Amino acid sequence: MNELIYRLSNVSYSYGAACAVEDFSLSISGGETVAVLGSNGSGKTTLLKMLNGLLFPTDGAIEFSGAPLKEEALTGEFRRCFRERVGYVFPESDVQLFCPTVFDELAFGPLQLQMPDDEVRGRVSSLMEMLGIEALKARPPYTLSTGEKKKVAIASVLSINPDVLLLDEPTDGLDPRSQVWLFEVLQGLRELKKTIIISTHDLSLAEDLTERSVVIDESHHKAADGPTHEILNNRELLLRANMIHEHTHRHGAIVHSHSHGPFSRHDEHDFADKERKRRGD
Amino acid sequence: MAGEVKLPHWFKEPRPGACPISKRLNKDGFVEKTLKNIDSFMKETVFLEKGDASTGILQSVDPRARIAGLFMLMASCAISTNAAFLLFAGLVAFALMKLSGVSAGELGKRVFIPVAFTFVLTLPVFFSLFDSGNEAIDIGGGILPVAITKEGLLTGFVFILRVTVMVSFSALILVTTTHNGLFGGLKGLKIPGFFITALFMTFRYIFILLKLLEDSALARKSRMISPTGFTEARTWFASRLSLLLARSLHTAEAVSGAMESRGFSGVVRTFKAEGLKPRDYVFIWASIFVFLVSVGLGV
Repeated sequence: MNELIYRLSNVSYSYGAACAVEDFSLSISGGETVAVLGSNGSGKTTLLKMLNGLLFPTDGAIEFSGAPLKEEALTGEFRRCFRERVGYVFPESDVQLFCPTVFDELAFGPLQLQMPDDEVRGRVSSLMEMLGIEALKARPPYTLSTGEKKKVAIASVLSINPDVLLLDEPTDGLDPRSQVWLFEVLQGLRELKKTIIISTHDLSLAEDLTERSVVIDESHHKAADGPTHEILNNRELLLRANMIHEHTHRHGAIVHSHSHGPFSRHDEHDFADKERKRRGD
Repeated sequence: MAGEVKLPHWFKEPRPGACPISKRLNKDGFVEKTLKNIDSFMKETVFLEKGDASTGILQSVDPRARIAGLFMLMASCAISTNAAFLLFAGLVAFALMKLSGVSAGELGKRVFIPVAFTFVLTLPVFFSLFDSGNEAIDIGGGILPVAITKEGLLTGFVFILRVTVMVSFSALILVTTTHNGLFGGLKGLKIPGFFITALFMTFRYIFILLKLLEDSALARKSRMISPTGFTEARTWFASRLSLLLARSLHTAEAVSGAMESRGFSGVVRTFKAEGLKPRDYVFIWASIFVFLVSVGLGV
């Protein structure tokens, strides 16, 4: 049995009067790949920020590797160890990229953790080579495209070699090729037994990459926690959590409704497929 | 039918015919002009990325030595009241500009605004109306007791010359040093990391906030059907500034979280700087010599 990384017990968080996460309990073990699914404003980002020790519950408790993750406890050796072991990729790359060049950006984390200069240089160079971003080395981050910024943001976190990787909406703004790149990188990290927690409303990413999904509904409560394939087959749950929606469209003369996401197959499409097969197209 | 939206009838009617062609040319309003000017000024003067790419005498010197040396030259001008020395310093700036492959236009556009501003501020010094002295040129025509004084001319000339030379040296730092080199150089000069980080962040996020303001102006333009008045433009500009403030506060908070997340604990740790080369020491010592000459002339 893998080590228990996170234990959340009845965690709540409010921004003033506005509740973001309500009575949330969850356990995550080392090596797990978990998708946190929810619509916009459901509390996914707040949850990830709590897992990264950037926000602290207004109620309830979080444990990291058996130790309480509290504001007053996040200091000294524990803080260093925690920051070394947990990396967080922000949804907005611009806030994460604040160094003069891409190279400096990747070196920032290891340097803050007081690694020797030579080791940092070696680590950054090999990481850039692995991720295919050597050409960006001397570029200032603000001159990069959205996809390049995301790559550098991910690389800047990977340079710490975290055991736990928190990714907040990682596919937002990425073109299809960059999405494939991200998928391959995450697949590689998964094989290394890293714990990966992805907050997303991209159901295909959850389906392709994670074995477990946690759904947050629009009332900020945990609506479900289970194997991803089961969650994605629960149409009613996904509709309730606003993860899929009813959609109207047209096939020639036929106008009909169906839901998006994993339930996008329907009779008319099947009929069209059968027709094509029959005609030998 | 689930999800079907009922469109009002007027929404569906396409407009017939082509759009009439206007005879009046479209011109930017004051808001667009101001934003464009701020944006181009920032991009041209601050966000220079080509600096080290060109080869020249200043580019061949380590950024730390370059910044320290040019600061020393600026300090020597700041304490000097000797017009001959300032002219000599001006010649040094000119020589450095030429030897560093910087064009006069590139340097001139950075120097012009501060010098023009200084000239306006200095203007009263020239006239006997504000400061008495020996008459050099009578401009009152014998009717009014107004003249340009010899003392005023000398004071004004020395002051404007000093500002011109100092701004030229500071502009030389900007045009010969990349963003990275500039901050690395400041770091190497033992300027506290906190100030450098704050300075860097300011430059870094000014760019993002400017982009936001520029996009807001474009969004407004895209929805403007006819020109609006000055009052509306002023109100819009004020509202965008408040948005900018809110956005910058949000960004500052998020950046702080991103730094904290990657191990930042209040002290920015960077690579240890490499040692200086002989030519860097030559440049620094030459600057110190000029500084000492300036001190000697002032005694």
